[in-house]
Amino acid sequence: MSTPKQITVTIDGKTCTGTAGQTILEIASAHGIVIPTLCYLKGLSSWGGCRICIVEIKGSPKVVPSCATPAMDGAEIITNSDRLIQLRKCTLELLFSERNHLCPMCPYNKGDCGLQHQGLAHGITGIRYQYLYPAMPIDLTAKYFGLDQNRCILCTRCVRTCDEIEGVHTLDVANRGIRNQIVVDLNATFGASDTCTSCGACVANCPTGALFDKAAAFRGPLASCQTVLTTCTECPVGCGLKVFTKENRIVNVFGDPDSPVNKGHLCVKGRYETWADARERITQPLVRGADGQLHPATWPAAIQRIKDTLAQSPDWETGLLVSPRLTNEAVQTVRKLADKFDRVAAFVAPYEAALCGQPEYAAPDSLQRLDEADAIIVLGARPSEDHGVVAARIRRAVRQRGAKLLIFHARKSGLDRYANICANVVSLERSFWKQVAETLADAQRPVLVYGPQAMSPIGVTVLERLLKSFEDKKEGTGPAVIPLPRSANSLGFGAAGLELLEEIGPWLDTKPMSFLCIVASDEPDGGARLLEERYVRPLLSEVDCLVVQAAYRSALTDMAQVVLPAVTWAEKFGTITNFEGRVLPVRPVLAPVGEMRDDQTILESVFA
Amino acid sequence: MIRSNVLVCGGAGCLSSGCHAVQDALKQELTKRGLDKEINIVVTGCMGPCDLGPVLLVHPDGTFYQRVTALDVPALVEEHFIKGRAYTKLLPKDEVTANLITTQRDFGFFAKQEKIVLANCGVIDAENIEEYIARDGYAALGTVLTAKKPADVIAEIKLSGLRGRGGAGFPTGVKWELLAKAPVTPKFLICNADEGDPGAFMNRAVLEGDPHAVLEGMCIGGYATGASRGFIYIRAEYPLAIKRLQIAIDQAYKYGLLGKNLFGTDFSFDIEMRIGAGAFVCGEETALMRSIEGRRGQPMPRPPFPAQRGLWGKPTNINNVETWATVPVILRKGANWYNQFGTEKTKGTKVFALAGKIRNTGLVEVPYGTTLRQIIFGIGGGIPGGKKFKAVQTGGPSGGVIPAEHLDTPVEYESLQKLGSIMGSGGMVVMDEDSCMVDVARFFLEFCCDESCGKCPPCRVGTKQILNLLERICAGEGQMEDLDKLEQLATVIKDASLCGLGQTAPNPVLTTLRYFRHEYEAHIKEKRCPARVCRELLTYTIHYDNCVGCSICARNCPTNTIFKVKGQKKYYIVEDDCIHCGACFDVCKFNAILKASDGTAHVVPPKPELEPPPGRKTQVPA
Amino acid sequence: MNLEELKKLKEKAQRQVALREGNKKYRVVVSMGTSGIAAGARDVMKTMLDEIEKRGLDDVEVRVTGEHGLEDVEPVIRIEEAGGEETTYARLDAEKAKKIVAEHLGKGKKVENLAVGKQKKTD
Repeated sequence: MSTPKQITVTIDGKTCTGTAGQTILEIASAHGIVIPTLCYLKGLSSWGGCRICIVEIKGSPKVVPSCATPAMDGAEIITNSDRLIQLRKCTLELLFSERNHLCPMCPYNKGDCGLQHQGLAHGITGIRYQYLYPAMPIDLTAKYFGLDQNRCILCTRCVRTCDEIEGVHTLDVANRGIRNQIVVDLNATFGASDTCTSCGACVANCPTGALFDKAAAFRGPLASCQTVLTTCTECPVGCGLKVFTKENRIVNVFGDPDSPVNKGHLCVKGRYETWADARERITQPLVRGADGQLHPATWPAAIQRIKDTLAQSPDWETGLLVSPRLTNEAVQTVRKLADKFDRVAAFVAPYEAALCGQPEYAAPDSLQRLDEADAIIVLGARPSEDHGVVAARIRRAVRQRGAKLLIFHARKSGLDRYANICANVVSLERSFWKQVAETLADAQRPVLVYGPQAMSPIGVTVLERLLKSFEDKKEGTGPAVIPLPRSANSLGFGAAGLELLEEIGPWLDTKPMSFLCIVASDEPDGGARLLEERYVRPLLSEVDCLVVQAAYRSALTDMAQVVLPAVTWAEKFGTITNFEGRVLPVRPVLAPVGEMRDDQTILESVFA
Repeated sequence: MIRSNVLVCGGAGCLSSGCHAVQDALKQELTKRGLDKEINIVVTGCMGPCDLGPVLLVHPDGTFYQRVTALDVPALVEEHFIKGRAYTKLLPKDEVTANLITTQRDFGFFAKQEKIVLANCGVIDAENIEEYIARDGYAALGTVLTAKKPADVIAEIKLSGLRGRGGAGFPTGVKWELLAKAPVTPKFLICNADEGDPGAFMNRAVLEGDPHAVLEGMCIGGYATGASRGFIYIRAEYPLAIKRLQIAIDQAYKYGLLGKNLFGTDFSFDIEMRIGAGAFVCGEETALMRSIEGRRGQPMPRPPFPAQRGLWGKPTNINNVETWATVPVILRKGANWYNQFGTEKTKGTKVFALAGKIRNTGLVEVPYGTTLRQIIFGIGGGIPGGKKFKAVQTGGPSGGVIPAEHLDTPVEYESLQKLGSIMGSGGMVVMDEDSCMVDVARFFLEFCCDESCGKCPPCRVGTKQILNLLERICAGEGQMEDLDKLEQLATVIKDASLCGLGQTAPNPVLTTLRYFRHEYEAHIKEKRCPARVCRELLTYTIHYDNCVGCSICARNCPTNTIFKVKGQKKYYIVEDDCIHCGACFDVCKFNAILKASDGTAHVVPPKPELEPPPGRKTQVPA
Repeated sequence: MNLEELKKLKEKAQRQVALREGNKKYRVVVSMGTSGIAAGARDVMKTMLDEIEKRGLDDVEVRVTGEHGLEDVEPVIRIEEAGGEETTYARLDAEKAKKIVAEHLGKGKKVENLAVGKQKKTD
């Protein structure tokens, strides 16, 4: 591979060096020269449409967009002539005249709007053109965000984001000229769209208030918030988060652009569901009284109640059942306290136990492998439902690089429509494998992503068959194998050596348990899904003393004798291990309002 | 033995005026008279004088018949083919001497042209490849592939001085050389057949009348530049051209003149058509390429240029239909033959589409350097109806108007640019004293505003803003500051727009302001439209002297604002409710309706006592 | 398709378009006025056309015209040559027509015994 050529250009009289192929804007930025932009965003393809980043090149009568023009060796570039400033001003004024940009009514007023920023930077206090006052619609049908066409400047950052980052291409521009409009699918609404994943990346990248977060609206400019970098704990991908808070409430959640895991991208869970959905929070310990109702109690009272109960019946069968969302530190505490209980286990997704194995099951740089793959096989996993950011990368590989996609799963998923082969795992025929072999014939960098369902009996058969089909290929072109569990800190549990349960019924049933502490931590459903398993509810109701440690109220907490309030991801401090094996920090962004404590503190204070 | 060919012009213009019926009648009549073994009917492409259609050209006599109908055919056959005399009823007349023109050679419209690109148009049957071959078709390709090197071909094109006919006038040889130098393969060639300028139909004529010239030109270009595939991007609004082009492509493949290993060499070339979808902006080369790729037709900034990164990121060369069609004749007759035509800076000939207020509407091909006067008056026949020439609009919506004082300007790229206009692809719309220059500017801006792709604000919003200003001026609501605003907006749009559409959209405004500012001022200061075009500035008055009281105007008035004068057989228009539609003006057979635009000087005629027109119960206004 | 084949195709197809190119070596003008037709000019012309085609003579165009002013001696034809020379043949029939085609048009030899005095070009 040849090293790219070094080139030298002059920008506003300053000598700048760069490499051949770099744009004028890239070289200017690297040398601290600021050129105003609107439609340009690092990480997206260059559009060259807003005409704000225009520069002059000596010898050419036309202005060129610096974000899209490769710098030529020896060029003399001016970024701030009177002509350019005048053109930028007039272009901005035309934008202000085009639609209804009413700053006082906009949540991005006072600092978060790119258009307002450029307007102020260019000293615009009024415009010389007539306002057009078009009647533009507003779409509020998406759950977490809205699209107000009145504020749109048609920069197409959202279109490019949806196409190039999330990979679904839900957004595009319809009509022509002054009637241009951003549309969802074929002129549907967000609520009716069957392609939109609600990842919110478009909202994050919109420079104006056209796309806006409902929960963040009118909470003040981002500059007035505190920022904390933490990690999402909804799934084992572990995306970096940049959380903005104000007065101890979350205002906005963005992806951390410096995180090597997600590079600033998030899915609907990390960006919205964890905090924007309304749930009932348990703020104090609750103890069931003689009247059979749960009553608020103090920590000492609640802890004493548990200790007394245990002391009274020393030969009770005791159990500790923990959520796989616990941080590594909480897991360590569980291990330490394990011998205080007759039985200790963690509940994981069906067939997931085999994936929550030893740390050596981790696949480092899995995401990079995905980014380079030219063939991706997804077996027994549904990234579009469970690991949104991984699904985005798979879609990008397919749509931008023409990678082949083969999906094997019993259940339908949102990724199916992008696949070359989509097979129901349950029914596979012999001729089918020939088709698979043909599809994979030219793959140089295949990747095999497998989820818990791959560990089911049929899944294992298919897995072995797939690996075998690669054996026939030549040396060195075998697939990179990426196990993708579902539970957040699955790998963190690997080292703990805890028993992993895919079903808790049998575990409860082997010997009747009299005391059970379920550490549901910050499970969004408060642990209620445990009750969906057959026989669990009656089995649990037979437990004499059920203690549930959870952040949110649920049918499970309603069954408990004692409920201990736990912190959520937003209040936790610790680490989790993502599916690549990276140990990622979880930092508190909010101070708990109430008596909530973190999982390890609760366990220590009760059982140590 | 066939002793005579009757050429029926089958260009789109003559099709619309009914040449099919003429063709069928001819076939019938010739068979009936037993002449079908002696007289051959050939349907050709456009012969040029589209306004005179349907037209016939009889060879070997060279007799040209105009405005032929099916009913004329029996008499025509009797006179011309049985009795051997020209059928004088359908012969054209010389404008000056009023003599009948008996042969095509004597018809000024044809005689003063130099047909190089259109040499086969109107002569051969476009759906028969053998007729193209009979006229030396594909001979140039054969020679080039077997006896010349690619670099020789490029040198020949450079020497010929051929400049791109799409409007930019970039030297074709240099453009080909850039593609030839590109190190990446595959390379593509594109023929831009989008021809979106309103009133332009030069490319259409070539595609309908001589499609093989384009195919041969592209093959030669492919050999010279190393391209392996060609695309003809043709607008969907040209169904006849699409049909004829597909027939030509299929025939070329069948005869081994397209496809693999042409002329026994290892050069292969494929051509396919891609059909547009109704967007003027897709005539811009980067938008065109996006359209072929299946994306929204929006331009991309240049650099990178298509020769570096074009279709699907590969090196690509785009040329206009006329440019491609000129290539075979250059290679066949030599660059030095070709560059004797034209001027110092611009060699060869150009096809112009003459339209508007002109006697001979149609296509003309003349060498560069011919003056506007020679084209408009010499070949075009001047302005009909005794009206005075006012201006000629060249270059379509990207061009500008040129007034009478510059009629002696030789037509070439640089000279037209100096006048504020552009050559464009060759559209020439002639205007007379009845054309309003402000309305012309408004019309072209409306077009550009509608066709703007909308990617960049200067064009998307700027053209809308300019259009709003012009509409206000045409409606009599303009202010003098609006003229400064127009110029300011025009500068911004021209300078900041991303592509040629925006960069040239203000040209009609700028040139009309430059040469006809007084018309703008009349609209603004006096609320008057000197050409009596702008509706809101018109008044209709009934002239009592001519009015006979037939009431036809009143019966046609959509707002019922015309009343009968009590006691007289005269009518009167109540101006308050008049919407200036001109219906009364159109139906009056007695020249009793005065259409005027007096502006602020208008005096409303005194209102007599009125009564409703007979048979109507409309209320007489107070 | 190679160059040789293209050339042959061109030659074959050229006859089709030849009439539109003008400037033939020979122009045969057949007098087809009422008297001419009565005397059998149609038959003469048809014979000539067939004969010309049979002999593959490419450089000939055949036209008709009205009265020739020689009613007594119809059918009449006039042969105009590229160089300007004109020859008028009169009192023709099918046989004589064939001979004229063979000799004058085919070999360039005037058939003297059928020709009448030189006529000035009338049109």
